[in-house]
Amino acid sequence: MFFLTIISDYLLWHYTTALVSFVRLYKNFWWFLTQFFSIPQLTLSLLSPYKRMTERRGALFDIEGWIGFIAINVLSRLLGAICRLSIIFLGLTSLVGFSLLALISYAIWIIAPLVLLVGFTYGVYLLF
Amino acid sequence: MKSITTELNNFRPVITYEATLGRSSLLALRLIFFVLWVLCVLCLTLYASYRGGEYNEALLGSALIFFALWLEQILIYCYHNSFYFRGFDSIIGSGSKDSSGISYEVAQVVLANEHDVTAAFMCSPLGLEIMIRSGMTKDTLRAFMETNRSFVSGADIPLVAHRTTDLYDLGMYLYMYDVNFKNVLEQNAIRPEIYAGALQLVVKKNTIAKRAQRWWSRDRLSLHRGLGRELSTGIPYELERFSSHLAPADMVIDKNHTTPAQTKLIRTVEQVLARNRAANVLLVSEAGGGTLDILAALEARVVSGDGLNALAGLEFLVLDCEQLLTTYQDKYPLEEELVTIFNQAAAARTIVVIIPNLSQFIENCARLEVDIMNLLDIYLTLPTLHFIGIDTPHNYHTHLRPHDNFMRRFEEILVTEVTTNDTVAILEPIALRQEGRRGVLFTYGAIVSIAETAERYLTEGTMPERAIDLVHAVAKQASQQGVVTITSEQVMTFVSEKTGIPVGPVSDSEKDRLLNLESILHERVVGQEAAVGAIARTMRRARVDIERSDKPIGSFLFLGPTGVGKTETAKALAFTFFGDENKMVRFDMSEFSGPHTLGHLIGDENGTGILTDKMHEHPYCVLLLDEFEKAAPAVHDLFLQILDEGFFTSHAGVRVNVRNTIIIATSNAGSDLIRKTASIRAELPNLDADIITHIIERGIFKPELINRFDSTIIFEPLDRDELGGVAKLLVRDLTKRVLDRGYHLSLTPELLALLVTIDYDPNSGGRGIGRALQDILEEKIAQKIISGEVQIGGYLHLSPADFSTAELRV
Repeated sequence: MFFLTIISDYLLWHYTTALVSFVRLYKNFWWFLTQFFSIPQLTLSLLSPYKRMTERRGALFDIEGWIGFIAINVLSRLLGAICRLSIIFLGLTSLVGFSLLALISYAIWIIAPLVLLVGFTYGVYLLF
Repeated sequence: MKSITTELNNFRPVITYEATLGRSSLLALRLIFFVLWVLCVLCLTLYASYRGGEYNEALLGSALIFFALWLEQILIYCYHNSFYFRGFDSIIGSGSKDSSGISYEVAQVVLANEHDVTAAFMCSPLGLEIMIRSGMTKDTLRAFMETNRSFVSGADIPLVAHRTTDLYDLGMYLYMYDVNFKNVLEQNAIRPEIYAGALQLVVKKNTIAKRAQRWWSRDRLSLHRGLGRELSTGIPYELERFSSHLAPADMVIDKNHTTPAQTKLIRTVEQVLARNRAANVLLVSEAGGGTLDILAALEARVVSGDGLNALAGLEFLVLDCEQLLTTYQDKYPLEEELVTIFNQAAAARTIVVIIPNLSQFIENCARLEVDIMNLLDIYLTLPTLHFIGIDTPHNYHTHLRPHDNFMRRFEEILVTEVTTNDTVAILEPIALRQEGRRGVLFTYGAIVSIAETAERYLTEGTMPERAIDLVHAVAKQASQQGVVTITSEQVMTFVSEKTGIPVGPVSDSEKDRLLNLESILHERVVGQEAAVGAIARTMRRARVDIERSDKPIGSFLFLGPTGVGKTETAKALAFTFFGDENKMVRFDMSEFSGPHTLGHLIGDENGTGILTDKMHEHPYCVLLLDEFEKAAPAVHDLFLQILDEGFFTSHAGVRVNVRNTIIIATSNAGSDLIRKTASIRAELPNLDADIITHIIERGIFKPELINRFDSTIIFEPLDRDELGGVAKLLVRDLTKRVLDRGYHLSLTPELLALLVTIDYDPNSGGRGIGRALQDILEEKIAQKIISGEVQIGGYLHLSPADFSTAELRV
């Protein structure tokens, strides 16, 4: 009787509280991955110069200075954008990968008691 | 009302599991089943490839069983966590908070013995730790269990509304409703606040340890430093060369467990930093006040996303001013470097530059002719860069406040001196770390005693730093002596040994000394019954801490003519209270009668003061102020503050602690009246009042100054009999001195009486006897030794017959 109570308590938890917690866990890791890859910050500063390194503007009629200023700054922004995009891409891939993993785990969680029961029973059947 | 047993059954399986196999088995079994499953799958694959696709049923069956067992262990782990972390944010996520039910520890206790929860509480590992930290011993606990007592059943204990009932709630319930339990604590002199403190400390420690296991929580995840942040913010290369990150907070147990004062400070700094412009802070705090630790706790809040949104991503860097000034020793390179540092930091947009000892930095820069205040001004207005300056109140008032334009860029926050309760909270994590390092255990009473005694009796350094030093010193001594549990008594013994002041419970020998203080003082002071009685009463009150702790141990104004035993009483007090009559610092206050003499005492622009120096050298002593009436009015005013608050501020702005001294001011003021009234043997209470009124009327002391002393004590002139007693004491000393030279001295009673008579002068009191002894007796002894009448080891027996009439008239 005690065993049956445990099983029923467990199953109740498995299909109610645990499923809600699963969603919270997912949100936690989503927050972690976005922070870890600095996705919001990198997106907001996507076109900023690379590590904020810039060239100062030259004198008004210094053509060479102007070309240098434009070239360096464009290059710096381009390089910055490439680097940021790479990390954003890595971050987004992780988020997608994690979401897929979470989805699979969610599905596994739902059928886990059944898998456990069938796996164990069939294993015993095969063994003996 | 629901009781804590309502949901006890839900906990039963997981707690039974843990009791049988232990929580660590969850990980071990999961690992074992996983490895076995993988091995079976590998063998199965090898077998299939060897047999051309044919599979082995036994291996497949084993693989399925181990997989099922592994899966089952994962499910048990999650299920167990859901109970184990009950009361935390949630089992595997964050956000919603459980607001009902009981914690795992409460369930563990109640399930162990539902009908006698008190016994179950005391036998549980955490409960036992709580009791030991409260100051109980295992023997006392065992004896208590065996007594005939009433039981508290789990069904009687109600759930706490709107939150999870934890071990703290259970412990407090038992204290309030189990009379036997409360009685045993009281019988063992465990105060309610000590028990509650121990309870709260153990629960907090357990919570922090459990929180560290929740690797999936935001708290733990936020500890990982992210990628690419510097790409968005830029790297302040130059600043990083000359700065360091905040060290993990030593004085803060956990960012979630700050003291109320720390929390308030963190919130205030947070609000200032969140402003759009001039978001700079100046923290005015005594050195050693733990300001950097509080900032470290703030940084932890910001990193974990608990702080204000406006602060997200902020990075706190402490500028290493010394290294910067050592590297750049010329004006222009230093200026150039500072501009680069602050430009890069501003470009990064997320930097908070912390400048410790701001005024010192400004001064050092000024030496190289760098006007740092002017240079910083533009950066202080930027919304993309924040500064936190730290300085002491003295430096703030002296060096920073006069610069209005610079100061208006900062929000000044005064870090108030920590209270004893705050100090206790600050000491808790430090004590716990010392426990891990030294293998000792602090009772909660010991931690409280450290906070109290460091505040009251130690003078070196500031609070809470000196309390922290005391934790380290006590833990070190205990570990060297093999002591495992550090109690309040051990702390007090340590402080007593260190300071020479008797602290803590009164020992048997001290008890005798205190109860017989009058007779002990009378061994050295003749007569003066009323004076000695008043002193003894005050000292007994001081010893048991009935008096205010923010005043000197005792303070007395001794009034009376010369030679009546005022100084001797001070010496006797130093010997009785500090164990050494040399623990006395004596000032002739007639030397401080001029208009500018206050500076000699507390220091002036030419140097430190004599009182400041003496108090640093001898913080625990009798401070004897001879001829106090002759001191200048400004000096009287200084002592008005000292007697009231137990400290004074030196010229350099340093608070000097005088709370561990017994202050004795002596004065001849009113001597004529004392002699006059004493001669007619007036009743002493009236005599006291008359003399004090007389002194006030003549303007010798202000009434408020006299009122500040614990006692004003009148020393009466000595009569002939009392002078005889003084003579006996002096002869006793002389006999000892002569014996030290190798001769045995004895006097006939007739000679002693004669010596008192021949130089009797009520105006010179005991001093006249001293002179007579020196001039007549010592001279005679010297003659006898020089003439060879007495040899070393011989006896000198003197009677009036040994003296000529002329000799007795010297």
